Amino acid sequence: MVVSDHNPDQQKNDQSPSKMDSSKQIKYKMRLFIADHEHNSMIAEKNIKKICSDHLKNNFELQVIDVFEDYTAAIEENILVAPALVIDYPKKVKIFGNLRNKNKVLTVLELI
Amino acid sequence: MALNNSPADNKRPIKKISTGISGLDEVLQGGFPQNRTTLIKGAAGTGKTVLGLEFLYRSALQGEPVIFISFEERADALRENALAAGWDLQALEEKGSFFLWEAKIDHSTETSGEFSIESLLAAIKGKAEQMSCKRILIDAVDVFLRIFQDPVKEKQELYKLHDWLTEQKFTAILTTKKILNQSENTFYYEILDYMADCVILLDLRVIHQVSTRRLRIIKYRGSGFYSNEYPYIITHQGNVIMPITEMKLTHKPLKKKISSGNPDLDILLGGGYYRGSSILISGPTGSGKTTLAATFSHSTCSQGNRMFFISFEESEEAIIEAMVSPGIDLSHLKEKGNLQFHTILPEALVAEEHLWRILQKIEQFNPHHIVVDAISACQRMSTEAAAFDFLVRLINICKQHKLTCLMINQLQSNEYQADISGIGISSIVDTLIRLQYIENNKKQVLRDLLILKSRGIHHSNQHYLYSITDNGIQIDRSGKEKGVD
Repeated sequence: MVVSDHNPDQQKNDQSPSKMDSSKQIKYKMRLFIADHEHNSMIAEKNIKKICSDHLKNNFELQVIDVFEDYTAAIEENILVAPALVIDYPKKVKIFGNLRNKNKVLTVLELI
Repeated sequence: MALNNSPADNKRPIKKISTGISGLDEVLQGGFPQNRTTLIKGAAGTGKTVLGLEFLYRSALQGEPVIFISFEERADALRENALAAGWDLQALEEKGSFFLWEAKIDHSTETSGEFSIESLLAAIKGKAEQMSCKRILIDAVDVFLRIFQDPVKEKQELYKLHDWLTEQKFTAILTTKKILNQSENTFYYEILDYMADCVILLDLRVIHQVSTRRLRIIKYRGSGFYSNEYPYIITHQGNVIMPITEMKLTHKPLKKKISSGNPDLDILLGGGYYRGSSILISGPTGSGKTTLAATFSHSTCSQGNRMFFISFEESEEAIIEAMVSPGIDLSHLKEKGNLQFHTILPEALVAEEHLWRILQKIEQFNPHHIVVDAISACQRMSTEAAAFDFLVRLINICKQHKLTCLMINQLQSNEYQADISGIGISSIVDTLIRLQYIENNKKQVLRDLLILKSRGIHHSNQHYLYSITDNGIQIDRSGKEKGVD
């Protein structure tokens, strides 16, 4: 199961409204690795979605990857734990955990 | 030799799979426990990875798909090291039977809130299903668990990993460092010992400037195992463990006699040496020990037999040259291929490696007899204990292969109380001959030969004078000289 809140092929999704030229303007590209319905994975997904809508506005692309559905991405990225957020852009950084510390995420994203 | 047998042994024997590692199956009485977890632990540099790697490599070579998860070493370094041992991982990777995952921890990673090992489990599960793999090596699991930075969490996740591996019926090998005196960290290593079905401890010690590797089985749930420490070496062909489990000193009785090459000595020995026996000739420098060994070599090789001559003291050329004066021509026997020399300095290798190389050569050359010149030099391999161990193993190998083993012991002193036995092995040799210098009342130095022991032979207990002539050693069989004190 690959949940993509922004699919580049479609050039638009519900959180990146069509009025933006998303392919050029997107500032943040992220992938969240989750483990099925595991507790912390669910929390992380909720947390990152909230951070996205509160702070990144229309400027982001978030892909949610269930490692039990797509293990190859986990191997390629060396994702050994879940949940894990991989920020691919603007700067490659990984954050392990359920992202409950919002400020930590914002710091990594250089928003505070 | 200590054999540990758990009471459950006879009831429900557990399934085992061959480790593919020379000697290890014997120590483990069959191999690693199938569908269970085996822990290999030891300090850095003890060879945990290589041991696990060899198991995987040999499995994959047999067509059994394997997964190697490396938390510490780089994949290309592992491939290179493997290739040095002649193991082509890349070929197996291309065939799809070997998956090497360099799962190094990225230290720039941030953490925020809780996480768990599910992603690792999902990755293993997915990959293993794709490959139909049931054998897995998780190298440096301790390094991986450190990402939790919480001892309680590390413990929980370790339990989870172990339970999951068992539930999924993996034959899993986990390696971890053995950390001493770090109370903070030791507890989960103890837990790992408790959880794993089989625990192997590796150790690397430096004794007298020589590195010595030891392997010990600490635990094997549901199975017997040999609990001794076993020396092992990492050769250019992989790990070699040398179990003394093979050491059953219940060898067949000696029957057939063979000539020592010296007619006089044959008479004193009641016909000659026993074929397949062990003979020790002790004496000071120049007393003719090597001459007796060369006489025997010449005699047996001339009859078409093969002799393997190990020299820790002299070069091949020096031995051949030295034997010209007592009239023994070894060079043509060497050319004919009946005589093969193995000359090496004792200091060059550790005892186990010496033994391994000698074994390889014995297997290639398939000799009838061997000479070891001299066992006294073996101490220079490292310690007297290591030399003793080496010799006992060598004698045992000779017994198994039914080889006559003639050993020479160089005595440092002519004192009668000197070590006549030669590093304490006199009790396990069949024949013991002592050469010495004695002085008669005319202050003449004479050579004296005494057969101290000869198992199964009605030998003479007398002292005999002898001389080294240009026709070999001549023994005066008329008995002890009158002129001697």
